[in-house]
Amino acid sequence: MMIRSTHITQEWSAFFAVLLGIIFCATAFWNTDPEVYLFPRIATGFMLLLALMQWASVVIHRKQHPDTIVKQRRLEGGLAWRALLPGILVGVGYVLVMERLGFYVSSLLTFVIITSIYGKHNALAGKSSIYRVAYNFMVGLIFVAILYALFWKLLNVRTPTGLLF
Amino acid sequence: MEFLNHFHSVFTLYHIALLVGGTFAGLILGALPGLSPTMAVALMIPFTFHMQPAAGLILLGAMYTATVAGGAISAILVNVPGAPANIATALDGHQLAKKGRAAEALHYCFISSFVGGVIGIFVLIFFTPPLANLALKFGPTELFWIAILGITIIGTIGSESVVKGLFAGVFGLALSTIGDNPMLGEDRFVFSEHLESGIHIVSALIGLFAVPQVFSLLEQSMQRNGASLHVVGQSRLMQSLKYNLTRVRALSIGSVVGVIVGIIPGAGGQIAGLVAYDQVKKTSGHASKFGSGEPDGIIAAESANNAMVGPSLVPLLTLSVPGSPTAAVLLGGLLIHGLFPGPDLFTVHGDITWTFINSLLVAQLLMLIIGLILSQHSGWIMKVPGHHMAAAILLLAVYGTYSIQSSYSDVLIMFALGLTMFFGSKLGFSPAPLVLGIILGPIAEDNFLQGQLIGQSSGSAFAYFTSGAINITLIAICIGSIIYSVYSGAKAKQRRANSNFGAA
Repeated sequence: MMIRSTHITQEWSAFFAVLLGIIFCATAFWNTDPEVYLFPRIATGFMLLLALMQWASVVIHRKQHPDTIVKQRRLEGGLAWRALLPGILVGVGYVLVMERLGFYVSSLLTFVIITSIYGKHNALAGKSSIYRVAYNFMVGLIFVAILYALFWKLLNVRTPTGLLF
Repeated sequence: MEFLNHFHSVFTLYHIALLVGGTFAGLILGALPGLSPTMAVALMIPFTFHMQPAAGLILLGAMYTATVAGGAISAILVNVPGAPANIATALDGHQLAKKGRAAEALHYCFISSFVGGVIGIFVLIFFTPPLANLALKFGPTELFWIAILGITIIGTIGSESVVKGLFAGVFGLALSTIGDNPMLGEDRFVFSEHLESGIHIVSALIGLFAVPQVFSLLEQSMQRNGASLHVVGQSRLMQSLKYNLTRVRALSIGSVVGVIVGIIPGAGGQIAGLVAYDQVKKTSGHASKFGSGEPDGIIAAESANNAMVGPSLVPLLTLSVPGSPTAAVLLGGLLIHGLFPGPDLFTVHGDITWTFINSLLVAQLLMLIIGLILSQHSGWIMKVPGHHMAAAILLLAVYGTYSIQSSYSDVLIMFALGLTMFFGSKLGFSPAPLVLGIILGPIAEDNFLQGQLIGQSSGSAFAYFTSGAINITLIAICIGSIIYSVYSGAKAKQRRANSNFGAA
């Protein structure tokens, strides 16, 4: 039986755990002051130990069941990259530009972009693109206005205004 | 009866407004499928940062209570539990809705939640102070082991795999060490200016609970298959109330199970609801009706998951060991207000703590009233599109994180943690032990370093950490919870294998 590469298995989880354990352990032990890094060394040591235990359980399972591919926790359909990628890119973009563009304008833009991309298959599926974007813009504007009233006016949180606001 | 002396503090206009607002918002957030109570409380923490501690905790407590109950609305109307705690409610609640009795099901849900919730809060009121006094005997080594115990229990019981749960907890501990060494003041793991101040609790809470939810909602919104929404219909409240209160067996089993599961650290409402449902079904004279719209199923599940709320705070307020993932988030809320669990909460900060606990009692009543009113109009809540929720949560997460220290670094850390956790959850890792590791990490490290100094001066640090009745008990519970989880996991695996073999 073939498992598509997108299907995430226990093997991947063990692999990433070991990788993370090695990176953290190396950082805590390599060229550092033992007194300053005492607790991090203990924590990262345990991290690596637990990661190796996870890896060992995968290896043991594979040896016990040589005919089957390890898929104790197989995700239904794996990661929906096509669905996720635009959202991740918009999210990363939002976090990166908010200081330069201004918090409120970048927030409004992010809201409109996300809802317009992901709203295609939902409530406004039958409507034209312009209608969809205009609708999402209005909803976003109201939401950002509430945030402005709450944070800027009520809680006195001064967010970076950047180039716009 | 000290709690009675502080009741008047709840009834100020400001606190009542917070309770009403928190309950209303909690019911709506809880009803939205995919938004967990843990995430709702985590998102609310930044708002409380600018409030007085009592006011902040009142808001968080009201949200906690209401989100658990609100999750039943979507469980009943669309068969999608608003929170894991409402899984058992959906089994009979949705069947009742299919028969055109959704309003009746919602009445049962809020009335039972109220009964269970009140019983749970009374357990909190009477059990917490004596347990808190026990913490007076704790020195650095005991506090170190308590922190380790909290992470161990959440890691083992609250996760799908013991090793993964423990790995996440220890990873949280490692992340908590980023920044200054508490004794020597030197930087650790600071590879970028953004890491200089370490990881703030709120960045971790919001990042680990809210951001993965954003991407899950976006993922689902592309694949939504349109769950059928049932009309709420009409039902006489007094009739439902009368019937509900005559179901003493379901109510009492639900409440007792909820209280027991709540006190056990790490268990949570999902287990409470399912165990209560199962017990009521087993002891019922008409077990075959369960699953096809039996009111006792809803009554048991809802009284259990709300009865769990109060007791889940008992180990949290006394020993800083949270009873559920949401209680772990509340621990973050306490710490950012400078309140450390233990006897001081009931002596030095007694006015704040008792006001908070009393407000939970009032929140139960508000949850009942607002829940019953809202249940008639709950259909519209289900119509909020997932992509709008996702965008709104992302914006709230960013604003909330920034508002704590006006720090852009916090926002970057929050988003990076959240994105990593989203992929981590796909690999079977749970955010609760990771968050607890980050929250309890500084407590563990401070007390470890203090204990080490004292131990070295008295001969052996190892002996100092492993001697004394409390230390030995705590170590034994840590080891016991790991062994129990490994054993029950292996047993469940064996059962699954046997049933597969039988089916083949």
